Amino acid sequence: MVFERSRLSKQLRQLEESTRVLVSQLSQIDLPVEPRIRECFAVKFTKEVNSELTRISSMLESCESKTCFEEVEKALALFSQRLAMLRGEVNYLRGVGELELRVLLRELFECRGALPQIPSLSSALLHCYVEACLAKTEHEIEAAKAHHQRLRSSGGVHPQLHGIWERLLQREEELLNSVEEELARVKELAPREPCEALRRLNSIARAANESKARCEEYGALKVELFSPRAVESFIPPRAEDIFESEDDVRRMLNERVFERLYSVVYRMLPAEEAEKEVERLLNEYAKCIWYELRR
Amino acid sequence: MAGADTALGRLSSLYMGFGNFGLNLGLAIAKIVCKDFKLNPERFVKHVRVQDFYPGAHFLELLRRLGLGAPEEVAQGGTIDAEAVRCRNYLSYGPIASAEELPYNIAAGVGSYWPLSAYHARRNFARLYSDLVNDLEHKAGRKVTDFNIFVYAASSGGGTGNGSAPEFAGLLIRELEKEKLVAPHVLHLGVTVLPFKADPRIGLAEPNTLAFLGRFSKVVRTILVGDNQYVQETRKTNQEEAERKLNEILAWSILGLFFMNYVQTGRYEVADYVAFFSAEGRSSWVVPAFTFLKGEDFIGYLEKWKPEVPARAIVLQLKDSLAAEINTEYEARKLLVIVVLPRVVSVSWEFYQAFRSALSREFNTPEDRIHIAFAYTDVRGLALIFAYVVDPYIQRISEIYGKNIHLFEAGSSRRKSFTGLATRMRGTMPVSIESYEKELLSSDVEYIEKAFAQFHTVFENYLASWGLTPRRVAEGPHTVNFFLDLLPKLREPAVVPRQACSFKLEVLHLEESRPASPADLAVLLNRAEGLPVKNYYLVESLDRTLREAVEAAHTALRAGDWPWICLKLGSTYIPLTEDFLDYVVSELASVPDSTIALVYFSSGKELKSGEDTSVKHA
Repeated sequence: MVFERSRLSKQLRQLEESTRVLVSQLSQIDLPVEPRIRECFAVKFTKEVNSELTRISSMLESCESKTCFEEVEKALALFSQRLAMLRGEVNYLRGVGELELRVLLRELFECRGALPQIPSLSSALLHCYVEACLAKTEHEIEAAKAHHQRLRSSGGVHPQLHGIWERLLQREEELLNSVEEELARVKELAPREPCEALRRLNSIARAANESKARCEEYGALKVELFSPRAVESFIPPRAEDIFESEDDVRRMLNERVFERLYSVVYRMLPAEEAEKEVERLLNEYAKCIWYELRR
Repeated sequence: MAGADTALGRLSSLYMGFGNFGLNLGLAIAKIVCKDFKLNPERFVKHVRVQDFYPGAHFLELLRRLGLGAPEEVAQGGTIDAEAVRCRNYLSYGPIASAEELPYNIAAGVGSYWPLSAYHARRNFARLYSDLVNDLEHKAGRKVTDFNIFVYAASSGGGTGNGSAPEFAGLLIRELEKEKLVAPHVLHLGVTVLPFKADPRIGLAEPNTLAFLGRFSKVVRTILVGDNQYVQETRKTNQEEAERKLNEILAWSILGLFFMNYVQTGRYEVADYVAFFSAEGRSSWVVPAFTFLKGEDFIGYLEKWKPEVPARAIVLQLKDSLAAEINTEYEARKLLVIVVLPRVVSVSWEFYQAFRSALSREFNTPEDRIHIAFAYTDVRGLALIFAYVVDPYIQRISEIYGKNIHLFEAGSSRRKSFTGLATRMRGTMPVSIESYEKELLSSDVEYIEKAFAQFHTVFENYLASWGLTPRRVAEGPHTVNFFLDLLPKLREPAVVPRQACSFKLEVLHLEESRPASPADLAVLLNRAEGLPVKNYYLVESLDRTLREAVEAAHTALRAGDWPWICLKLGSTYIPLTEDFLDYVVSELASVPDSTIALVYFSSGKELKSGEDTSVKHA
């Protein structure tokens, strides 16, 4: 029993040493990927092999029976095989030229199929790429939400226009929420189906990015159209002689405001719907100016 | 009647840009040809013509700022920028309407109201055409019939170019037909860009895009399409930079066609392009791509690597440089790739096959519809790669169509939609159209409606090859990766700007007869005292020859007969012989205390050797 433990411990130490060498060799390869993907890959690789070694080591420590030692021996043999395979893959990466590596990784990340030369490493690399994409998407959503939040909390909207301002922001918020929900679903899917996750992330990140751009537009719109000063600017001197009814105000707004407002709403909705939405917004806007006029 | 080049089957082109984009793209071409890369204009685009509402002074000022213009008169002690002098006659400007015709200062353009610029282009065509003919003759010494590829460029979402380019192109084509310049001996090539989504008037810019594509597709055979939004998204950059990058891709893509003038065998003629870009009875939409790498790297790849690796790398790099997003789930009709290498190399059959297979895979085009051509000429040691994807599924056009589908649906509200659209377009004009052109006001809705109907026909035809219809436009996901910046990069190398140096330039006007030999001239100059010297500075690129430098200076000075060229070392004049003029400027730049002297003689009489050469003004 003692002899068995000692023999297997020796084997384990040898494998630990080989693993250390392999990890160090891998860290020396200059992978042409983003630093965060490189880091993730190194951590993932090290963690995976070390956790297997730790598992075998603790198994060995608690072994009391012959069957258990046989189990450990089998695990060591399997790990040794795996290590040999990984060594082959690392050696391939060390030997391959930079240009080829760029092409291979690019094809891997674009889900053109796993790389037959590095089957285990390519899966780890792909997962790290997906994680980087997830992080980037989260960042896009966070940025859009932060923009949105600032718009909500910053005030400066004419009290009579709060309703329509809120409606615009509400639409954007709903869209961001749906994007967030979809992201949560993709996060669950990512470990199992990285390629499908990537495909869906592509749309989510794009939607978040567009929402962020629209929020930037809303910021400008607030100053141009929704602030008390903007409302004042639509009321010329002796306005009571110029505007006889709310309809007159609506006509003026149609000429001066429609296109600007429409161009933002158009980015969210199909043209026909956007047109109707802007008409509704302008009706309320006209009410606000008419109210100011009669005050 | 055809010009010399066209008669020889060489490609010979006139570029015509309309509106702001047309101007910027024209300047990008001029900058590449005349300034940054020493391309021979005789073999590429021969002349750049810009038509806009801007007053001509604005155009000249823009040229000056870009370092492409040259002052009309060079004052003594001033600087002569040789490259700018070469560019001056390369560009010309034509106003779409004269100031008297315009109700206001139209420097801001026509807003989004393209029917107005179409109206002016139609009404003023006779004058625009005769101005073009005159300018070509005076500035470039050419006739309209000297060209066989006519390029018309205008942005699709705006007003000025959108209105005028299809109108002008249609009328010019008719004019050229009178001169028997017809397909397949002539190619009419359109170039356009799709607007940024953040365009402040995107709600008009996008429908305008459809109207423009409908009208333009009716007159030109092929349209190169670029998308500002796509370039901005994929390059993760600001609008200005995206615009500049897209203009660069498009400018090179136009010029790329002319590298086939540098093919020793199997040279392309216009008819080849006409056939290649044809799309069964309608105009084809082509998305170009352009990339480059160091020529020696490319050649090294061919020699050192197994062919699949560089082939795939180059194709991926090319795909990253597309001018617009193509949805590769749908097969493209054809693909033309032109590779320009700095020297003649033997391209192995294995590489050729690997390249073709990678292209087929990345651009989803059947291998038998891919044409690859190699041309050899040294463009600053670079390997240039051009791709022209004929009729790919252009994602953005479908998206724009999908957003504005109500404009194509039959029903009573359609007319109302067009009236609304016309009113909104008119609203972007700086003055009310009611006070301006009554005739236009009564017909613009019809005109706009017709443009959309034209688009619908073209679009139906375009979609038919994929079994799609406008009602069933694919709403597939974007095939372009949003996370391009996280992918391993296949980057273009930085191109070192052309280096220039400044020379002292002396100009001597002597009231003498021209000496018969260099020795006589040396005696004349070195014996005299107090020569009437005018000093200038000449800025010239290091890789130009002395002859080119002197030609530019001579043109800028407009000094009469060809001068005698001397090198002045210290205070000694050394007359140069013809063969000396073939030295490149960099060789002279290393000679300390040297000056180039141009010696003009007021009397055309040439003295015989040995005659008295004493200088009267000494």
